[in-house]
Amino acid sequence: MAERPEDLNLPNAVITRIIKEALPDGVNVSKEARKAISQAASIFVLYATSCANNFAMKAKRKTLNAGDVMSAMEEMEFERFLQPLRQALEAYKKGQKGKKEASEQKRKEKKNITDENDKSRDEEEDEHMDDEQEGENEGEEEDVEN
Amino acid sequence: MPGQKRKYNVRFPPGRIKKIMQKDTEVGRIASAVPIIISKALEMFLRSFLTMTCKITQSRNSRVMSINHMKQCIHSEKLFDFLKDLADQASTASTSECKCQSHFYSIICENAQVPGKKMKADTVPL
Repeated sequence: MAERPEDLNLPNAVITRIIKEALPDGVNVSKEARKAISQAASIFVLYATSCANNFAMKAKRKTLNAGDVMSAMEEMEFERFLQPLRQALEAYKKGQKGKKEASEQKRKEKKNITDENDKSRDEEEDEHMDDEQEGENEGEEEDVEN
Repeated sequence: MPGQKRKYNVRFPPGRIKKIMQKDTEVGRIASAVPIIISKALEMFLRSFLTMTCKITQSRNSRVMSINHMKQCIHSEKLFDFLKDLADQASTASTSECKCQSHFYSIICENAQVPGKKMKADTVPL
């Protein structure tokens, strides 16, 4: 697989936005400094990943989770990030739950419509419930093995 | 959305973050919430880094943040120790020679394009 340099860089648009919002009016950033900021961002991700992964491995888990990232932030001495990160995590979980409920609701509605047309659906409904539960578990993890 | 003070477009794409994380060969699976959290942490880190560097920029009565200000910031804050390699290497034009202490910067290096040099041709597409 050919490696492209952009793959390890984060989008300039986002970085530029953060720069604009962090600096007071009138202060600009040199071209070299901009590049260095982008590199610093990638290094931060790698460093945080490595730290977080150590926690996962210690716990003999193969999946890196949000808790590992929190532990990593503490280890990296970014404790003041923890509170906002926890909030972000809660918001994300709520969002996911909402999406799941919405799609389950749609599925149920669809089923109800077809149920009216067909009488003996009990068995199939149970099977369907199992599928949904499996779907829930799969939704939490992404298979990104190397 | 109620209570949303979200500034637009400061969230990094989860897919890109995951790609960077996967550069670490020891990393296995990644829960879906992780890139979201990392994105937020990254945003906060950059803001801190920029704010602290900006103080140096202003203390030198400059309107342009330069590499030197960043280097000074990195060297003066223990929090940014992990960026030391970046600070040491940043002023050199080519990134081909990396005497790196922490191997994170070397990962960035090997993926960086060196001016005047073609990309390696020995990577065969699968």
